[in-house]
Amino acid sequence: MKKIRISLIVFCAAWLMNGCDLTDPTNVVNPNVTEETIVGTPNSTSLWMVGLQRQMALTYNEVLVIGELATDNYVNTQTFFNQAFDALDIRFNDADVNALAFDIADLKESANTGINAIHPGDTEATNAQLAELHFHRGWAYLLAGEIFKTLPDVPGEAAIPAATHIANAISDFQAAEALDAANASYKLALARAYYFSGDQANAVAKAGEAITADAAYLRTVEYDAVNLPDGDLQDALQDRGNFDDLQPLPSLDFLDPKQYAISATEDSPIYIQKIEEAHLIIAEGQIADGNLAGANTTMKAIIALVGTRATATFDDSVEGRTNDATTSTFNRPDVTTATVAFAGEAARAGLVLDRTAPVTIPVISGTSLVDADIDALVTEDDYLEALYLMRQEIFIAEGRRWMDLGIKLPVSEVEQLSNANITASDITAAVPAFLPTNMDAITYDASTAGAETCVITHNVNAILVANKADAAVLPFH
Amino acid sequence: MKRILLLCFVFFTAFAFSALAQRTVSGKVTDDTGEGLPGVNVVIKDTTLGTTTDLDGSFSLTVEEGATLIFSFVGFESQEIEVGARSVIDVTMGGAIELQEVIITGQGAGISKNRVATTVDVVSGADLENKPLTRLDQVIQSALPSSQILMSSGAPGTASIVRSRGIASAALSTTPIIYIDGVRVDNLNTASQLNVGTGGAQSSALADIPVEAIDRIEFVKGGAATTLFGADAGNGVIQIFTKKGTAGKARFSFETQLGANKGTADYFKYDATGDIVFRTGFTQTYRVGASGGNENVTYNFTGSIFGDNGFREGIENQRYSLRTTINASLSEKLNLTSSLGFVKNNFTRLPNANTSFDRAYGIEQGLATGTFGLSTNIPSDWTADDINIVEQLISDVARTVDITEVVTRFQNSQSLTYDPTDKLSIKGTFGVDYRYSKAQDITTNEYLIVQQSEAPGTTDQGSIEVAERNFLSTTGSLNIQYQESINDFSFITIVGGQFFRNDDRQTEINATNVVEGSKSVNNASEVTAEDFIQTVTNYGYFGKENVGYKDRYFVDFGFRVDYNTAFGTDVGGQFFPSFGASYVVSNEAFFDGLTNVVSFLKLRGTYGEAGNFPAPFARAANLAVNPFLGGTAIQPFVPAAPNLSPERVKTTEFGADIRFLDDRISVGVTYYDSKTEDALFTAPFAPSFGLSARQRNLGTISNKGWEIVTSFNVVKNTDWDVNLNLSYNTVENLVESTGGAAEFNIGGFTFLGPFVTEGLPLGYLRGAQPTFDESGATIDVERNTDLGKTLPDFFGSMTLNVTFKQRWSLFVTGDYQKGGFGVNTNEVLRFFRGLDDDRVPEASKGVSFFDLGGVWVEKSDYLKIRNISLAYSMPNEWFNDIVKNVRVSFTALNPINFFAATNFDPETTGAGARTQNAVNVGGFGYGTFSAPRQYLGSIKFNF
Repeated sequence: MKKIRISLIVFCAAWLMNGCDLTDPTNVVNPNVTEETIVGTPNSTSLWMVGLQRQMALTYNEVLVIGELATDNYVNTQTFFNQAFDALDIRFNDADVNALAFDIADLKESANTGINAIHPGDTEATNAQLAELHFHRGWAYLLAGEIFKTLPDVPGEAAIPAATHIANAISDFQAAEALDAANASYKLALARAYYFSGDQANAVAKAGEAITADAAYLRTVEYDAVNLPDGDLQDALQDRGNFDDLQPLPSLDFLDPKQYAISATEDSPIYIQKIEEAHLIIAEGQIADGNLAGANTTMKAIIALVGTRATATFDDSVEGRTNDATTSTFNRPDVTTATVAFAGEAARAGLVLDRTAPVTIPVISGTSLVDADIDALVTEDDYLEALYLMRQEIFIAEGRRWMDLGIKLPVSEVEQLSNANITASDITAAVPAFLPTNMDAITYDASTAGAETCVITHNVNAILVANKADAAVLPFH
Repeated sequence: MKRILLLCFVFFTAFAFSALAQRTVSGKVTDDTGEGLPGVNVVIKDTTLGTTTDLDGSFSLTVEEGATLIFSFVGFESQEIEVGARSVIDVTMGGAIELQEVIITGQGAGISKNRVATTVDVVSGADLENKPLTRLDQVIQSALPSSQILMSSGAPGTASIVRSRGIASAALSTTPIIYIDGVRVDNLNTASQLNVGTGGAQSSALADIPVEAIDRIEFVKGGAATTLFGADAGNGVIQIFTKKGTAGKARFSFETQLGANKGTADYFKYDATGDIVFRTGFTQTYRVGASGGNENVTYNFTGSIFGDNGFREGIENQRYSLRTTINASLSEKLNLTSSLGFVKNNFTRLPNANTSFDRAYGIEQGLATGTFGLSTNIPSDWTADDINIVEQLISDVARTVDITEVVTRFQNSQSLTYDPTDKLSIKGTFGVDYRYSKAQDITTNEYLIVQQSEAPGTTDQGSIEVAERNFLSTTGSLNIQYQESINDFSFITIVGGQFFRNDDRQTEINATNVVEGSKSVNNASEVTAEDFIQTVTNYGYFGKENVGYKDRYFVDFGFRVDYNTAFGTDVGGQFFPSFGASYVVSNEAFFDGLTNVVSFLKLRGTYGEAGNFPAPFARAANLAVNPFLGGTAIQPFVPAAPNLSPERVKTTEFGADIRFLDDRISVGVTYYDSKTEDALFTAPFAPSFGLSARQRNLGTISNKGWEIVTSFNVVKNTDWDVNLNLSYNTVENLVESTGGAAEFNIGGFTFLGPFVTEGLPLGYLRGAQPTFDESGATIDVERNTDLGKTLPDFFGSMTLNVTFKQRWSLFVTGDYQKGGFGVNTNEVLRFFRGLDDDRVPEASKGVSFFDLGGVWVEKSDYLKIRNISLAYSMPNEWFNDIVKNVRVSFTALNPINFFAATNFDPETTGAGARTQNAVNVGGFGYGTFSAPRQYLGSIKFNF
């Protein structure tokens, strides 16, 4: 009887305890996705590729804003975007230096994981996807080499020089080209990498191959205005509206804003590859070789190509140009009657737009030069200056100008504090001594209505040409 | 027929009354000095009938023949008196019992304060009774002598900074965890993870903890005193006990409070700002209460309705609250307490602080002349036309803005206490707190056009943002207390276990290109959504032994072992020990001769550990998954952290409590030395890793200081009772180590904000310090340098309480801080608009503001009088005893501010915490309004 009673108690206790499953308070479920849930699954590469595209958008947000500020393209009138870069005061403890190094490393490590873990484990993966993974890793190397003086390749290890990053980029672009030989993107990327490494022969050859592959080639980084990231530079150029914004050099006024709000849900893309670049490389090679006639033809071809590119007409009245009366420093030309001149040079008309009416802006490529301007060029230096003006105009708001100016960032303070292999030399920037720190300086006299004049203190393209022998700039010279 | 029934009723009624032979007994209850004692319970024995004495100590009661009355009052022995044939019974309550205050929080169960070796701050119900305040953090602002409560914004229901003993964590808000009747409740005092972008008006869960029903608040500071809360209490614990009612006839109260609100213009640079933006707001509060019961069941009910139509057009708040607590003896040994509360809060908000849509602070910062058609952006130079334009703008913004938040909250707590013997007590508690909030921001095209953000005629920029948060916290605990005395030794043994689980689920919906006029996200061209889920369970067991010898030597040992679902997978139970000793010197025989001067002396010392658990799921190798251009973007995010542990706050404190001259002067002195080890730092990895920062056990933070709390009974006689309380607290905070990690930002701007780095106080302001030469030109810039710390060197509070003839009372509170720094962010923005003062010399006006950071850092010293209140209790004979007591009071809130900064409120901070429940060190005087001046009149009836 006793046994039965004990058995009954045990049974009842077990019955009662069964309910504990319903009340287990320690059961928590991580709603996030962890690495184990994606590696080795079919189509994981497709998801990873979208991640890389998003990282490209994030990386370009960093590249573009500080990149454009560190040039004569844009001046930061009063925003919370970087102001030190505007004056070429580039220090290793600047938060933007760290943010950009982080984004480039994130892009590279993401592509690395894609190449080494995701793609091999994905039964549905294609060669074209692997080529794109190599392209993205190569692009991270390319940006590292073009923007930084030195930067670690292996996380936590010593910083390696820019040239080694460019060489790594070339290896990855070659791997991509081997997997997808018809793709103009990889050829154009190789042309750009060779160009920056000063390898004129390979750069010109790959530029030619790219034009053959696709004579109108374009590659973009897209933003997601709804889910983010949206375009930071667009924000700086146009969206911030009445608070404050970045203002272009008045001679580039007709090109601004290249990025604008297409709609409430669509931001402008960034053109990171344009076939114009292949022509520009070829023209520069021709000038370097003394083939000015060839350069003349190529540069006119560029003008023709640019003429085929899309424009957009939109209301830019909120952005405006003139700021408060109390901050006359920032008053800028905003009427079509205003002329613009570099100090000591002839004034040019037609460069300034009236923003009270809808504006028409070239959103891919634009240039102020016409065939007659090219025909008027005489010397090699004339050609070089015009070519670099073309590069400046065509690449405006695409983060390319600072590379042409030879500016190189240091390794960031955060890297230095957390990585014992960083040297004292790594943490200093390289800014060519011949660059004026007030590249954006202008004077604007609006006292005579209909005859407003704006004078730009420095013609930076002329300065570049004057210093063409400097290793930091004009790689074919 | 109807008439016959009526006659029968009258007959039976008359018969019933005659059979009971009732009559009225009245009298007066006094203490042994002859003073009338108000509030004495007078209950007819073996019934639920009774009353309480009025302010004079008088009572009147209808009794039956042969009844016995029981007179009871806290602090006196109860008396039973047979009525007999008397109609007047005067009673002198003698045998005053020397009450020893009992502390519950941090002790596992109730324990006499004398036996406790740590400091515990207590706010009694009587302290709260006459404060016309409506939210918890305001209530404790001057009542906790060693804590600071900084109201980050004057907008109703917004977040505050609550801190004591410096900043122990770089990972968490300094707000202590909060328990109500033993149940952990939502203490979120920052914006939620998903929220609408109002630019800093961040709603706080502290705003919907009703204050009407509070009987008592205990606050124990983090570390030594909170060991029994384990991995959850590094920042301390506030425990609220609700009123349970006292036996006796039902007592009712009704209170009406009406008042005017006027925005504080003290911190504005321009008079025009206050003139244009502020209006006189109107507040109204209605409270009802009922309490009573018998020997077996007591109850307390409170309800209130509060309305505030705002000191600015567009800021409103309505609140409705109910709470009922019932205490029932189920048997001689079994007792049940049940408490249930409900609160509903409605807010309307305006954009402020960190948004360019804050047009009110835009006035202070220089509205763009071209944009708004003003002749100048200098408000002091505005013409009548300019003022009209700006008034119209402010009015149009208020008319077209549509930002609302609704909060609904239920709390309950059930406790069952079983006392099988006098020595053994077993208590189980279970309860939940559920808080739902929905914030909604409807941005119409009209609003954007009014704001001059979009061109007139725009039709496709309207948007709706909705953020919902569902928070459910469940708490269960079981405590067993055993008391034993052997000869001169007394033992209190406590063992128990506790768990809580927090489920935090949030959803945010964004709709763009919304059809004008729609209030639904359905009427949009594009709708996106995201969610946030955070679940954590903490569970553990604890024990504590408190040993007393001869009622003057006490030692205690305690521990808690905690498990938590947020700990790394390789981290098991975490052991938190504590040890303390106290010595009541004044209980020694040799002290007898001194007691005329020193009436009480206790020395105490303790060491204890408590923790803060890591962020839920931070331990996992999480990938970042985001929608992007119609696809799913998966990216590496953070690596796994199997060893992620709680940070440990280890505190040693020593102190003494001394009372002089028959307790008329009391002084408490405490020195604390607190060290947070394995501090959770969200420090960046080296950027070459390309990995996002996540919590790591990297740091060591120390906080040291003195806490001196004094109380003076300046005058006490039959007419006057004057009490003055003053406190002085020092804090020395230092980040001793960052574990090799680089410094990191925890708020503000990156060019000028609070950072964490080795060798400097947590949240020191980092920025550039320029040096100007005689001509005013900038000759040097030291970037990323230490511009000052946000924590003050010392702070404290003061309270003056004057009572005259027990009818008049004057109540004044205030607090102060000194030695900290803050950023005058308004002045930074004025610099952009050319409205700056002369701090940047003319020759340096062209220098980037990034390099001028140091010029905007100012002292954040202040002394603020928070409350001046005058009350009068009317004699009840004025009302022929129909109403037991009528109390009328007039109060001025926030009447006087003294501050060192040029023109910003060092208390407000527009920057807010970076993420949900993140640390906020304050120090950013920025675009948000200070707590308004309020002038309140209230009248309270007790029936």
